[in-house]
Amino acid sequence: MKRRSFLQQAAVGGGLMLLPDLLSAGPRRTEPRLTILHTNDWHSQIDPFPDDGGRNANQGGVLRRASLIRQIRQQENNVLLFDSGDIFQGTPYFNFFLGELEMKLMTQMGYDAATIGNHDFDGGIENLATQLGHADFPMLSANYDFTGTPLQDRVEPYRVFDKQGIRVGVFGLGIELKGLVPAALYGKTTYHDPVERGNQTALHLRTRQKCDLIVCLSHLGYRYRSEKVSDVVLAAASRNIDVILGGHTHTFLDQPVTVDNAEGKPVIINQVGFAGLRLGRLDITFPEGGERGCVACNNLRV
Amino acid sequence: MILPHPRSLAASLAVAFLLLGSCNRHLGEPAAAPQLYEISSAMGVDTAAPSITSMEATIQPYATKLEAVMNRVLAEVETPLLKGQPESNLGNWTADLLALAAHDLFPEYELAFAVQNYGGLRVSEIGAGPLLVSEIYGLMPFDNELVLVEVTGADLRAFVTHTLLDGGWPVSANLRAERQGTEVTMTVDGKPVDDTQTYYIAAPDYVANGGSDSAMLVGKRQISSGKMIRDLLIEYAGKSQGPISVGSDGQRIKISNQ
Repeated sequence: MKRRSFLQQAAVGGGLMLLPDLLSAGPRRTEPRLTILHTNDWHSQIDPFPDDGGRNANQGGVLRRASLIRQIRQQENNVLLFDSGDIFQGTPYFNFFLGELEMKLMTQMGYDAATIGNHDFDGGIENLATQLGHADFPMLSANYDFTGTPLQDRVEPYRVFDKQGIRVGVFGLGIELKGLVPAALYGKTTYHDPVERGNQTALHLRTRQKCDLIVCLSHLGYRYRSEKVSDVVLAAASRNIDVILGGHTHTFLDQPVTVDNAEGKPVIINQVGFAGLRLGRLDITFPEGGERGCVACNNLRV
Repeated sequence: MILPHPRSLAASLAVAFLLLGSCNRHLGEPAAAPQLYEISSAMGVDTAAPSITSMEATIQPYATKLEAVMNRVLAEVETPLLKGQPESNLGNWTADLLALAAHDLFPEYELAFAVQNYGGLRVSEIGAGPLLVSEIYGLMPFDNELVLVEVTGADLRAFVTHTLLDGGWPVSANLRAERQGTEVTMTVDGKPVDDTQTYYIAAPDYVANGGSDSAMLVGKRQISSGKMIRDLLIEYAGKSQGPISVGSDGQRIKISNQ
């Protein structure tokens, strides 16, 4: 099989960038190009961290994030903004207002979709449903079954976004709640195997929905010493998933990681720490164009 | 947008696979160029943009309500409190405050020790300087109640072994526990644990109800305090005599994997 490098090196030496790269300063590109921005585990960190001499003092803050996102949107045509869960819990804003402000601000920032983290149940499943009333973006989960719960009509397995002809299929996967979240908080939510549901959903997005790019918003965690299912485990067992935007383990990856899937094709995994300290960005192009990129497809056709 | 029932989905996908082939990207294989932005203090807020000012306006009434409560100074932190395993001064400080509170809340019971699950401490550090109510909310955002759990010595041993296998949890000074490989030894108030004796552990209800894989505590008798851990930490941190300077000498929890 032809091997290709899905993931290019980071734009500037793999290092961290303080300010957005003015990529669009050059001539207007004509090839299809998509910009994915993402956060995870932002944990109600609305204000920057307090000026207390701690490691994260004065860092983060939702207005800075919004300003950066706005700037990128001015430079790029096809921006998608995602969050991988644990929006709630971590500052008094959550204790006092139960996530109402977080949902309003994510709506104002123009989030396109998010998935559910374990802490998003902290106010109870009814509260999550109530607060989603302040959100105009979809909550995605393909492996939590909310039948008979207040979330049953508010959570979808996936969404397909069409960005100037680029079809992007996005779905969510959540962590096992038993032993992690008190049962009284998640109620009748049923957890299903993320690998099985992830592969089913990705196949559906690839074949039925004809997606060019398939993105998983995961709150499974980056990886574990045990056999517990994680983004790395999911990627290795997956087919049809191109990108996993992860969360839960608060992992600061300075560079996304690639893991070969069940067919030997690379899957990108990224995670950007927690508390809105970082914003991740992936610029996706389709350099091979047309059908040429469809390696060995003909062999599979009947 | 609604996914069909999984079995019927699997069947329909199998058919789709045969009919359509596996590769339906019309654009070809994607390539990704990553970038990373640090949301640092060097990054400005675009106060000229209406979308940003409207977010400020959204936050403002919520922030005003919180400020009055959160900016109260409880004490002065002299030595930074750092979270770590197997033992840390942040963990020791927290667990000792919970033990103090448990002595006051449950005077008729003899406390074995107080424990806090490691993952329940939600900051890595509390820096030196004035300790604000908001920092305790950051440390302990969860609405967990402090409860007393009644266990046998054998249960206590199983629970402490679990915390050691999990890398070591914050415990009050009453407990000393050591794990060498799979060999675990422990004392409560300097005495060996008697498997048949009854002990009382002060813990978050989250742990007492089996959270953080503490299944061995499920179903044990619980004595409720009616007080949230966070509120107790605020109350007892506020009673600190002089600046807070807590050590961690590694005498409470020792772990070696040989």
